[in-house]
Amino acid sequence: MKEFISGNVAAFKGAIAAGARAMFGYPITPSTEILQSWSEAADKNDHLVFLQTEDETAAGFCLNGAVLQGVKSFTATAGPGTVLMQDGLSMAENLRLPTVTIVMQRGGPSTGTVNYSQQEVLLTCFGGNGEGLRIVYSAGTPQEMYDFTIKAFDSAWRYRFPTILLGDGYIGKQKSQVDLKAPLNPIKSVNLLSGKNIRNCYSSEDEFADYLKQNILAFEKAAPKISEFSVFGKNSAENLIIAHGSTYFTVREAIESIDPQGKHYQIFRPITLRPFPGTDLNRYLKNKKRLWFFESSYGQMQMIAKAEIDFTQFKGKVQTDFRPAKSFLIEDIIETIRG
Amino acid sequence: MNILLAGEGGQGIQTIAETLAYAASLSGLNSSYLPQFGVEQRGTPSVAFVIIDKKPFSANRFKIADIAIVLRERAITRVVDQINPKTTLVFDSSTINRELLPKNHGRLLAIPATKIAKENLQPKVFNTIVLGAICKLIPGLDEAVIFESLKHFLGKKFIQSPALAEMNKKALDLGFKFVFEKDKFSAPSFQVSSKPITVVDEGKKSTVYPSLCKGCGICIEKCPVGAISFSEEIGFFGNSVPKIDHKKCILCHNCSVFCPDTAITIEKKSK
Amino acid sequence: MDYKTMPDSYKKSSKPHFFCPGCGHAITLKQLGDVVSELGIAKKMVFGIDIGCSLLAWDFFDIDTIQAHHGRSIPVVVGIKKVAPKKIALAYMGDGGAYAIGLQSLIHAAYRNDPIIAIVINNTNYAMTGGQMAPTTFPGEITSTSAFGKRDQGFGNHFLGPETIFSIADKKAYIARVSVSNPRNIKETFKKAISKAESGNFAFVEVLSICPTNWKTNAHNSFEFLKTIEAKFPLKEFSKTREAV
Repeated sequence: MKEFISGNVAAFKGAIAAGARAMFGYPITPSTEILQSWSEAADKNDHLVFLQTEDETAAGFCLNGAVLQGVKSFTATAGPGTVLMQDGLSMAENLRLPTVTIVMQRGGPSTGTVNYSQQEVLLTCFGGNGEGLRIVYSAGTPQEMYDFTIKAFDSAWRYRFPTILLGDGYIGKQKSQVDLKAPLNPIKSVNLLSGKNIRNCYSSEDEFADYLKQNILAFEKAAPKISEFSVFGKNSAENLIIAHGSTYFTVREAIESIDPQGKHYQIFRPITLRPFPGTDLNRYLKNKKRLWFFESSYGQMQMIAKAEIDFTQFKGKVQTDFRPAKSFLIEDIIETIRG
Repeated sequence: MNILLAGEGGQGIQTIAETLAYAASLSGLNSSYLPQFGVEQRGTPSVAFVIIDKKPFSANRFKIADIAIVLRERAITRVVDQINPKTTLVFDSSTINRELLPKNHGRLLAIPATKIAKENLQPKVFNTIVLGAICKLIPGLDEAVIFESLKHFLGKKFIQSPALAEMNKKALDLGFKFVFEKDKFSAPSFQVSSKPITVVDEGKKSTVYPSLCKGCGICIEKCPVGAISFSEEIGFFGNSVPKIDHKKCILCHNCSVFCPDTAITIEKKSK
Repeated sequence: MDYKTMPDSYKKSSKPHFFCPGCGHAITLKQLGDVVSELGIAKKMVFGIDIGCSLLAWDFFDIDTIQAHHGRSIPVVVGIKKVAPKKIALAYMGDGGAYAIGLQSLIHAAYRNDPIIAIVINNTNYAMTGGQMAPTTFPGEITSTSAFGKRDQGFGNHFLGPETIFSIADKKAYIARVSVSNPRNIKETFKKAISKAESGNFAFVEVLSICPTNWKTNAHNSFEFLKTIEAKFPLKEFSKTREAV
């Protein structure tokens, strides 16, 4: 079933399709339509729960409570709201709560712009006072806002880590045909509080370190199953371009126009920024002479990628085109590559 | 020299440790003091790391202690991994059962500090007695510099109460003069009974749980007829535990209603 | 050990607990435990606690318990109640968590008339971190960050929580202030609060409490100081209507 809808509305529909029953949120551009859509749906359907909270911090903690109680729940935010969400996300990270947070990136830092950026990468991957035991997806089209929202709920409850879906203000507002395929087997949620006394503050370094170690091991074990990427173009190409979210799609259209077979430019797209598909990236970097980074931030995704790259294997040149808080057009990509 | 102190929140472990470290710096040595404890204000292990050296250093913790001092049975777990056959292990023999100590120590010394404090001065200067005793083990420190250091931390209280200053001086002296038990150790006489104390008398049955009682004294305060007073029994924090005079008791139940630790109760009991 | 003095709702394996000797939390929790046992609601309840000394209650009861971040016990409990309306949802915190960092959420829970029970233990200081000044510290009161007594210029009078909440709450909400000087009254008040929440309204109880550790008082002086607090924080049931509770 196809509908002509915005990415934000697609995300809302994805949440419904995934079996979400509750949303807690605070209006903030450019994510507000998600909250608005949910509010209207909850007005018509007693089964759905909605609360517009006093601020994003409260939303994050209401979300933690609802998820503890075994109900698929989510929130949506952006920019300064994402900053406030870190308090709740830290608690979710420590307790491995399967919360879903949809983040529609906007220019930062501070209240920057309401439009677009790819500047909340580090914040969503590592923003709490912990080790970033979170799952982060990066969507690039309104269709993906639907598909990846469903994916986010599945991963959250399957692997039990707070899951974030990164979009941006442009794909949030952009309208296009979205295929609303129902997911095949939505995973069941479970009550995580029943019969339990749960704390997240410990008295001894040893006790807490042991507990954290178990969480880290679980994350490492799940990482290969969660990590996702896609590749366009030929392995024999000399250049590898890496881009995520909507920048990836711009890059792809640019390459399709100047090198339709992908003979000279292969594109590696991380679909999960956390866990990052580092092993796969290294595989595709083999024999490449040049690596290009394109992102609408000052190298946030590049920082994560570089930590994974085996520079003893890849000895090529690294080139970057960073445009913090600015979007790319196809012409910009072509100009940079040709320049 | 690495000195590890382990006891329980409320015993004054940190005061001992800080005083030692500061005394060392007053004596011209380099020293460091690091506290380590949990969120609870009372009741969970209170540990301190003190390092004293002629040469400058930057560490604040260490793996193996040269001297390890254990002042509460519940804190033994915190020293087990930090001693080896070169460590001098010092413990309070009046409250700690020697059999529960780890075996891989060097010299084993004891001072029944809780007993000495209770019998000669007051329980609250227990830590000053320990301080006096252990300063003998640290080259470069003497009684005078320890008291100087103590005044630095408790000075205001000493000015307000000269009696307190006097008591601390006496406690320090007692500890300093005490010859450590080496081969024969006092049997722990201040141990918490795990069984409740039940008394049936005057048609009433009272139950007190020493293992729950922390000696806050609220039951005594709230008894309208003054039927409750402290006994010789030892409670969870090494405190005194109350007992009820069944004759005076009017079964108002204030004691059990107010007790924060559900440690005391009394009911009618026909024989 | 079969402690005959403990209510059924207590988690026996976590006793003795680690609240300080003479702590007002422990006196209050005992009243709550008695109420839960008498009403038989342990399995229906969810207990949310804050950061501060209240966190020491994380394994206190045989009740589903979740420790939240500082000032966040209310939103966590609201989230639970929203998705599980049949649960009795209780948020338990100190005066710092309620009236400083968490005040926003407390006000909005009252404003929305969320059917939860919020219990605030007020000892006029930030006890766990060593006795710093709190919104409820009264002018002239000495704390670790008001060594010469809290100055009222710039800080205002001590924060009166129930009075503030009363001014914005629904008229059917239950709001009361009680004191550990009268534990039996605390118990009755908790019963009313629970009943009010069960009938779909916000219930809020402030408990004036003692903190012998940070006040550095013995049993007698703790209760004496409590009297001075009671003189500044009126003990009463606030009610917008005369309807029987």
